Amino acid sequence: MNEPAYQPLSDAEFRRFRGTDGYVASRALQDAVNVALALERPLLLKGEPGTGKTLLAHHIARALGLELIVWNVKSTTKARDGLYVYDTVQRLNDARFGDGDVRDIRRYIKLGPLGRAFASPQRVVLLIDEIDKADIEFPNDLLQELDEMRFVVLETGDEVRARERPVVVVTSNAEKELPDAFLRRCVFHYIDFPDEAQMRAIVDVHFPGLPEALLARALEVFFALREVPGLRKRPSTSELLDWIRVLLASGARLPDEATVAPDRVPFLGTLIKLQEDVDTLARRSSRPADVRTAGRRYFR
Amino acid sequence: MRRRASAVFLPLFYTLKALGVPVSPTEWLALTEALAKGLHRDSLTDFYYLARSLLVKDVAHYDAFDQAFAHCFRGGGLPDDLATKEQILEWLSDPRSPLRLPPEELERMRRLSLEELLRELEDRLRTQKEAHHGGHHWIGTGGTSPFGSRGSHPSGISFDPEGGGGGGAVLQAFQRRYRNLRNDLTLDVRQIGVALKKLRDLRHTGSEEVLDVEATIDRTCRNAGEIELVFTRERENQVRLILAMDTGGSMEPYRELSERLFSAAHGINHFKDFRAFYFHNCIYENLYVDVEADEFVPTDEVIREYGRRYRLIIVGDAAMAPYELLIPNGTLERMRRSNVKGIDRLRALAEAFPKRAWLNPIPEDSWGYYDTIATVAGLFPMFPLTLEGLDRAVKALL
Repeated sequence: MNEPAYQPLSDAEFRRFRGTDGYVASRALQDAVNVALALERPLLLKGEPGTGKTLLAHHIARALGLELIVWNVKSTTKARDGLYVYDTVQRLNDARFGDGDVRDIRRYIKLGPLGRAFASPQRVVLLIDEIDKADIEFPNDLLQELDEMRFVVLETGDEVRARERPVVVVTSNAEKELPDAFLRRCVFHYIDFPDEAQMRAIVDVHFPGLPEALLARALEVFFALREVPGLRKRPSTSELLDWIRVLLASGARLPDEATVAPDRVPFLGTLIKLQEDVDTLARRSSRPADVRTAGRRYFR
Repeated sequence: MRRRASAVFLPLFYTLKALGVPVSPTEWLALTEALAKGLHRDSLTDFYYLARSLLVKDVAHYDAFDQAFAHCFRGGGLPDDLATKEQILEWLSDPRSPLRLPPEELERMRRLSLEELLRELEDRLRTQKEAHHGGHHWIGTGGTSPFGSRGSHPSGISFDPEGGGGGGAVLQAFQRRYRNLRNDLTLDVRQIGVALKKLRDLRHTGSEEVLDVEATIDRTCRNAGEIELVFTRERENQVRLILAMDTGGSMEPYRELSERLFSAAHGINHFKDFRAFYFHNCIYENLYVDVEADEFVPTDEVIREYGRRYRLIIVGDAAMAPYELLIPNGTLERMRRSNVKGIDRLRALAEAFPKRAWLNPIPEDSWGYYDTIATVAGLFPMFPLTLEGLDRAVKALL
């Protein structure tokens, strides 16, 4: 019996991604990225908004020294758009006015993000951002192309085949359920909201040498705000970073009392973006938390 | 050697399967390949992350994974407690009203220690095979058994998902880190979404911005090669939908089901317009936009504004007390002023919305037990709130 000739990867080969100087990745996240790299499968990332899903793709590209191709998915995006677009109008126009060689249909085939990622002579990182924004069948329409890393341009019969399988990163905000067949092919990771220690590390990457007193106080206020039940949109990492930037720029001081009333938090608008949430905070600070109704809502 | 190494982990695969995590051979082969490449780095932590990222594709199942992992590699936990608990919660979702107990009975039961209770529970989990309501022994709702929800045992173990119950529950069983992210239910949101997608009426609308290649070529040829571009309108779904949901007390056991329907309808970006309203027991003069914030729209306004152009789906058990439906001022709703009967409101709605359907979470074969269901079904074509019923409702709405 012949065992398949699998060679265990060395540590250096496996741990190709360890985060960068601009991105703090937890051990679980590093492992998920490295597993996806080693198995050449798409990496599916979910998690609260603002936990750095999209940013991660940028930093994977940076850490590996690869080009990044971004495909921003919108509600009207079709799977075909990612492969190629056949520019009929240009061709008709050229035929009419005699510009260029209209017999060569290839000149009018424009590759989409997925097509470019396959056609690239080097390995690239392909980010399919917010895949759940599109139609419910969208991920299924991409299954075959992502699996085989090739497709055929119908108009010409040409095959576009990836010479180097791109590193595919897919992000989803869980607005819609993804199809099982798609999930089966992915490496999945849910980015937890950073705990206080991780958050310190993240802030440190962005603001090295921040005074400890300010950092501790800011984190305290920040995490207290996140704990308030009933908020529609809880402040996230990116908002914390913005807030600290504003605090530093303005030189504002954070009040010293144990629990800070929301109207005393300077630049609350950078943390809380919905008027509704501002109202919730105001209501909450004016009366003690009501345990019977806290955090309980009907259809939300 | 390698092949045997991966076989060591087979129990993990089957434990996950037993806990209802959708794992398939595809995932298993991926894990085998990863193990062959040595991606687990011979460390349990790395193996944990590796296995989780390949076998589990939804954060709702992280909790089940933790349990399965602990069971297989640290010998922890009951392997079947999760599955069992789901089963128990299912039994308990059919509530009966609580029971008053004589004081001496209460005193006798108070004397059971936690250990005794747990031993008893394990025993009964082994022997109980079906749902149980009332009574004093099996796990169920109401009654005086120490196990179950809404019971009156003073020191019993509560399985109530809301943490309610008789108030004296010694222990909220089974708490884990990803507990609040569990929702087996969302598995169906996709199916519901797919079913709702059939509710469409495609028409060419909007500005003319899509090039009609066929027509363009045709016209250009007729024009002796002089290009004439023909644009057409994109096809769009014309269906506008109103979803009105009963949030009354009797609907509590079906709340998650209604929530699923709501998230599916809300999430698929499929309708030209989608609006959701809530009501308590029966529709009266107001429909609520936000139950908590007490925001509402007068029902008459909804009829004026949306009637005829919108399709209406009402979700409710239609199991009201007859007086709520048939007597003026019969409602328990606060601050009600007009004295239109519930049934008249429903009739007005039925007349205003020619395309309408009523989805009822009560199983179809039990509708006969409630008088009001027949009355309501006379005004609204009624379908059970199941995938199959939803399909029928969608057909009726087209």
